Amino acid sequence: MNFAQELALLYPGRSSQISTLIELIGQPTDASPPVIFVYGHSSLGKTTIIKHIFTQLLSATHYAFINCVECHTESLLFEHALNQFAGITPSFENNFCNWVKCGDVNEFIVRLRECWTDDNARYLILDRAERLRDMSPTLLPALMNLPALSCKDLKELRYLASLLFPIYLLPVKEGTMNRSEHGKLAKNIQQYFKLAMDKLYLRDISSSEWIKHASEIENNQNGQSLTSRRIEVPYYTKFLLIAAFLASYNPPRLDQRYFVKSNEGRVTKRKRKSNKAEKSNGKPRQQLLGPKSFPIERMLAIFYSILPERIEGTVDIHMQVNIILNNLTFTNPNNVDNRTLRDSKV
Amino acid sequence: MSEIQARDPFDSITKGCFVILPGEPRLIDGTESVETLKLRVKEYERTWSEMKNRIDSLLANINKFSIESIVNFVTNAYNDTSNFQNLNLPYCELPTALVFAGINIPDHDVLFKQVARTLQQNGHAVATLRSADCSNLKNTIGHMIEQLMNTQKDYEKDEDEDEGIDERIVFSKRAKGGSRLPKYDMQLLAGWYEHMYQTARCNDNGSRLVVIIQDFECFDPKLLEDLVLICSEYRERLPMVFLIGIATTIEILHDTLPKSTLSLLRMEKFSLLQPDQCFNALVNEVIIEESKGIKLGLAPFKYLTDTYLLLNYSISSYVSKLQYAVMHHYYANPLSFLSNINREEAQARLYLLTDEHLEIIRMQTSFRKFVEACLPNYQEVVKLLKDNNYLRSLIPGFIEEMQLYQKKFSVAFNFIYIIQKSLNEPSMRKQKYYLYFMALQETNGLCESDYVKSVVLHLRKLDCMKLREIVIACKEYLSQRIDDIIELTEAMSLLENFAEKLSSNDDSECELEREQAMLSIGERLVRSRAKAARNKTNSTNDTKLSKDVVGFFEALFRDNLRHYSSITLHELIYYDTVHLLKKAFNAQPREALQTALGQPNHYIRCDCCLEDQSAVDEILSTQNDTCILYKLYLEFGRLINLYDWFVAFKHVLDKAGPIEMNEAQYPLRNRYS
Repeated sequence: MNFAQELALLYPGRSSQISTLIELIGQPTDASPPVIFVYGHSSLGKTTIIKHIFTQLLSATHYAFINCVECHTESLLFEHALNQFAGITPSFENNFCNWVKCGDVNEFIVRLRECWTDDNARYLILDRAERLRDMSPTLLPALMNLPALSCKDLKELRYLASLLFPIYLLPVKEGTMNRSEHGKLAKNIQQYFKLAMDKLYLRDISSSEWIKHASEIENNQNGQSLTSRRIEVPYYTKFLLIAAFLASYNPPRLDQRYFVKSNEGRVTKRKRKSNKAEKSNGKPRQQLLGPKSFPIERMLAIFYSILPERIEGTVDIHMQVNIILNNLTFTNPNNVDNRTLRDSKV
Repeated sequence: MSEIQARDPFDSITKGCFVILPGEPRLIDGTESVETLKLRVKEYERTWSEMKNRIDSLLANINKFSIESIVNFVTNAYNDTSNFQNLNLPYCELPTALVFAGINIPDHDVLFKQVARTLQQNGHAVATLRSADCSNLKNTIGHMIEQLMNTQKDYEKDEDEDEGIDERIVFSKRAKGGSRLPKYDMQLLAGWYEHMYQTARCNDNGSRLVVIIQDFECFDPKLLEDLVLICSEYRERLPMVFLIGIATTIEILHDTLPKSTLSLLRMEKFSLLQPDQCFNALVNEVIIEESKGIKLGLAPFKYLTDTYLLLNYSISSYVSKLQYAVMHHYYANPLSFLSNINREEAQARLYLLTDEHLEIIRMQTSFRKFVEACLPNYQEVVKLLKDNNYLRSLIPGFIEEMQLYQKKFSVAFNFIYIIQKSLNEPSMRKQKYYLYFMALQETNGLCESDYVKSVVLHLRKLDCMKLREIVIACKEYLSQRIDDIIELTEAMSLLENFAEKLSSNDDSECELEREQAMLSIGERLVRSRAKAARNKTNSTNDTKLSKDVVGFFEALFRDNLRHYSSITLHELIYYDTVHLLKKAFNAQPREALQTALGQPNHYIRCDCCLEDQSAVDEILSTQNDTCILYKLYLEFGRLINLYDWFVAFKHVLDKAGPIEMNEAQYPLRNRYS
């Protein structure tokens, strides 16, 4: 009697699901599908069966069982998972410490690699995964792509290797170094490695440019001149961008206080008081909550009030707004004022 | 076609087309002669076409280098693959040119057309994709294939007509048997390409299939991903080259496309048209240097510069504003036909000057200044004001003087530009357009401005070496222009003289140092004492010389950098009004809409609403429904009850005459909605 049949006896009526799962998991060294989605109504035995299968099939450090209700923040989730992968339970002996502190996906991936000592597959089991939707909007996609993020891209490695290898060989060909002096050769290639990771990986410089310039890059910062990142924008458009930023990060109710030029002293005093009360409530500041969408009229109103001089609202301004909407989606994700602008249009 | 158009009832404003024929725009209360009118038109056309040519060639030149390098890249995109074969890259990289074209999107169309045309002339097939035409993959590929095959057909036709026809036959035959390939199937393109080149051209083809993605930022990234993937699959069969136009920076590329797509592209960067350089070149070429016909005065120059720098960075809008200014100058200024005359034409044109023209000349402020300057000579003044023939005979002199002034001004202006560039003072460095703006602004002449004064001050502090460099640079500049301006020969010879003296001083010093280096220490001491004594005499010489040089420049600036308004009859050439330009180019859509809704008779001028001009705010039943609704909307507060709105609307309409509820309700509701 094999394992599947044993389980089927324990959980009658679930034999097909059990065998499918076991097939999908296979041997510990096998690659499995990146995401397995187990779906069903409550109390049908999903959690129980999965727990049973994993405890029986795999050793404890090869899977992490996370209850998403329990781990309601990202860092909780990652730290719980890492503890389990590393085989550490916070206890009196270790001063109730996590294996490591971990706040975001990038760090999670780095740590994951650290504790990934063998070739066996690792499983991250998320129970009550519907709660993931309430967390940060980037978490779920990141977790879905986890295999792709943590795995090394063979093609990319080959690409970098094929471009770097000729440079590695260069000293040998020139006769300055011996074929067996690996250490020296590696040291020689070091500087190119950094450059390659910076520029080639992002395709900031193409392979042909790399071949042409590799020798020149060596002694100067040619790479920088190749990728000058400057964007020239008309004067008022800069103000429009600032206005967009202000509109997306400032709560509308404070607009009057910040942007109306003649203000009565009393009003501001009272408002300041209410502001204090707000702080004591422990609410995070608006600016930290990320950009919000806003009507375009509001942005224009702020724009006219922050300008040092008065100008007429001509068609040119509207053209610039249009251009910003279509083109200037800024790259820094912390600075996505324009994304919110677009939201406001929709 | 014409019949259909004639039958069109034009029952709506938006459909109708109103052509207002102004008749002949004769000036001077309609008494202007037809000849001068036609001359003004001719002058306008001549001036503008000349200007336009200069602008066009300038813009073409600015981008020439980058366009050429793009063409080179496209042509060589597949030639250097031999380099890669021994490397054996895991990716099939598509050659891709990233074209950074600046933030000013409206001008891109022209730019990319220019690129496409140049590429086609070099025998490449080009397809230009715009995000507006490419909503999904199917029509994107459809567009691409259609354009690639079409351009090639046109190109083919030029060479040999017959082959082109053959192609069509082949295609139609294929259509009869079997099912025809859909228009958006890549196999169609692949098959066509093989047929065209592998057989007909016996493998000799430098021709690439270029896909221009003009506005990368507006494209759907998913679509581009797919397109890149498909094209890279076909890379073995089709020599595709991508040309991606980016208005912002390269980060946008990393942001929108995933790594897997980026790794399929072999990107090289090209940048077109830096707004600053381009603008400087344009202003220099067209506004500052141009000395024929019209010149811009302070207000229009400031307006044009401001809109460019502050608002849009758009060369095309700058050029159209300029054209408008030129047009208006020749359209509205009755004297403008005199603006661009040479000696031969002068006499013929002077005959056309009527008494009214001369009256207008007498009314110009610059003429008044001229007369006031003549005041001590009473006889002369009377002659100027009364004797038409005398005044007529003076005009060519005025015009020549003005032309000379412009030439000299431009030389002196460029001297200042050269000097401030070589000064070691970052705070003094100004862009050329800004310098020119200052020159227009200072009514006492640029020489009196604080800026030029401090330039001269800095010039005084310079040592001989620096001064020599400046003098030589100025001399070189002047020697290019000297044929044009014989009046400055004296200045030229002075400059040459200075340059010689300065360099001889310099040489002697150098020799001294060289000698000194070879001597022993003891000798050196002796010599250095001697040198100190010699230096003293030298330095007095130097100070005298540098004083002379600075004095020369100062005098030159004072003489030639006068303000244009000090020149008699500058009104013929300098265009100084700006309100019309603002009206024509600073459209204010919001204000216009508000006026249209609030005071519809401002635009419609119908009889029914005109009656009562005083009550603007009153809601008349004869007004357009939309206006009535808008005014009612203004009367309500923040929230509007739809039913109340409807009742109020009906109430307004009832004023004209009661409408039977039963009868009217249906059409009324219709109107309302």
